[in-house]
Amino acid sequence: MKYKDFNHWELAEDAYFVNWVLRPNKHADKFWKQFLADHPEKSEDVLLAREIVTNIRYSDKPRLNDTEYNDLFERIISTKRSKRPSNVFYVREAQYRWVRYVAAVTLVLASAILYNQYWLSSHPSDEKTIQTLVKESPRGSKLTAVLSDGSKVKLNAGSKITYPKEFSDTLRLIYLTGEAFFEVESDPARPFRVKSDKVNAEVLGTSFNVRAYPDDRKISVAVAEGKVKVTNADQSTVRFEHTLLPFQESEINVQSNQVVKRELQDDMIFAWTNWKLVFKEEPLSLILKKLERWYGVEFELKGAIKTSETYSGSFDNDPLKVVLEVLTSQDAFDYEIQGRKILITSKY
Amino acid sequence: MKVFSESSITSNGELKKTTSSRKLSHQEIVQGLEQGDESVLGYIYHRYVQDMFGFGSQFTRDRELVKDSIHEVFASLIARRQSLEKIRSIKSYLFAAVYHRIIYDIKKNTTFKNKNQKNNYREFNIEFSVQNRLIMEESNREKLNKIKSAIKNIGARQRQAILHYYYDGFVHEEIAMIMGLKNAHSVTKLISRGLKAIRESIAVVVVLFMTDLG
Repeated sequence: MKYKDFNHWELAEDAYFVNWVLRPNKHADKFWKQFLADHPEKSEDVLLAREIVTNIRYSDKPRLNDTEYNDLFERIISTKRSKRPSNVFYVREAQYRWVRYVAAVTLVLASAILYNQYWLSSHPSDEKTIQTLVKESPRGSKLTAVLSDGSKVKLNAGSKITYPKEFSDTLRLIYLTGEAFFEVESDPARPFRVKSDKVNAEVLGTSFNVRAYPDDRKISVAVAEGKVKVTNADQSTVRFEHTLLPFQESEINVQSNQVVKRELQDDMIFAWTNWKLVFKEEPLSLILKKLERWYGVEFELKGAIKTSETYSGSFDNDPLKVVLEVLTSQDAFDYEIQGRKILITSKY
Repeated sequence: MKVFSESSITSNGELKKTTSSRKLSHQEIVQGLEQGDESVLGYIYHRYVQDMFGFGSQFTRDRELVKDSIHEVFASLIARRQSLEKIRSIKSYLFAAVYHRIIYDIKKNTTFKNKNQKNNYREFNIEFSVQNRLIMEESNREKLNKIKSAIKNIGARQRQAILHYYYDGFVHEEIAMIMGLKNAHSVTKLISRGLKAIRESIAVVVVLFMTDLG
C-alpha cells in the first residue's frame, strides 16, 4: 500500500485522501480505518494531514450585507419577471448593460412646483396628446408603480410623481415631489429625466432614487451605481453640472445657494428602498420630520427639548411605537400618542 | 452623538422562508432552471451567492462590479443563454461565469491609458490557521504573522488553486475549468507547488522558533 510511505504533506496533497476528508463516504471511511489499523504509526500523519486540509481558508472573503443580499435577489427576480424581447444575443446583451447601471439620485425640493411649465416647455409639440398621470403615496404609506416603458418606481411616504401616460419618442420625463426609487428600463434612444425645480438628473437607463420633499432645505443627488448627469434646473439656482459616479453625491444648499460634490461613506441614503428607516448622526428635528412622513403623524413639542441633539439608529419598518420607545428610553423626554398627533414632552 | 437600538428583525427572514432546507440534487437544479422554477433560482441564490461574492471579490475591490456580475450570471441562467445540460456542477459553473463576467467588465471599464496593461489583480490570500499540533502554540502570534506573510509570497494562481481545492471543495477538473487551465494535471502542479511553498514557509518559522528557544 503506497500510503504507508506518505508523510502528512504528501497525504494532504493526495486526491483520494483529500476527497475523504472533504466529502466523507462509507467506502473511503472503510479504507482509511483499515489503513490506520494496519499502520498505527501513521495515525499522527493522518491527523496532521487532516489539519492541513481543513485549515486552509481565504484570509479575506467579503460577504454581502443584508441590504445588498436582499437588493441583489430582488434585482435578479425582477429580471425574471420583466419579459425581454428575444433579440439577437449581442443586441440584448448591449441593452442589458444599461439596465445594469443602477443610480440612486436624491433631490430635495425646496419650494413649490409649477410642473406644467416644465412639461410644456420640454414638450411643446406633444402638448395636445399628453395624458398626464399622477401617482401619489400619502404620508404613512409607500407604493410601487410601473410606467408605460416598463420602468418601476418605488414611492416613499408623502411623495408624488407626475408623468405622461405614454412617453415621447425622444425623452422620458418624470416630475417628482418627495422621494422615489426608479428602476429604469433600458432605452438609449430616450433618456430618462427626473425633474424638480432646482435640479435635473438624467440617465439613459438605470435605477435611481430621488428625494424631493418641498419642506427640506437640501437638495441632494446621490448615485449608487452607474453614471448620472446632474445640472441646475433654473436660473436662480447656482449654475453647475456634475457627472456623478457610484457613491458620489451632489448636495445643494438651497438657503446659501451652494453646491458641493462629495463621496458617500455608506449606502444609508438608499436604505428606505428596503423599507428601512435609518438615521445617522441626525438632529432630532430632522428625525421627527422623517417620522412624520414615514408614519403619517404630526409631532408637537412641549417644554425644553433640544432638537439639535443628534442620534443614530436603524429600524426595519417597525411600528412607530417601537421607534418612539427606543427614542425616548434613554432621554429626557416622554411621548404621548393622541390619534395622529404625538406629544413630545420634556421630563424636566 | 447618542446611539439608539438596532432593530432585531432580520431583513432576509422572509427570503429564507421561501427556501427549502432540503438539498437539491444537480439534476433537480438543472430541471428546475429549465422549467423556470423560481424556487430553484432562490435555492441557488441562497446557497451560493455569498461564495460567489467572496470569490468575485478576489479580482476587484469594487463591490458593485461583483454584484453586477452575479446579477448577469443569474440573468443568463434565467434566459437560458447557456445550454444547461452542459453544466456538470452548478457551483463551478457559477464561479467560472462570475469570473468571466468580472474580467469582461474590468476590461470594458479600463481607460484607454492603461488598456494595454493586463489586469492581473488577484487577492486569494490564504489564511492557514496552524494548530499547535503542527508546529507551535497559538500564543505565538508573531510567528503566525510570519507564516501569513510567507503564504502571501506564493504565486497568486497557486493560492487560487489551493483555496479552490481545500476550501471550496472543487475537484481538479472543476478548478481547471474555473481557472481556464488545459487540464487537471496543470491544477495538480499548481497545488503541489503552492503546498510546497507553504510547507517551506512553515519550516522557516519552525527554525526561527527553535532559534528563539535556544
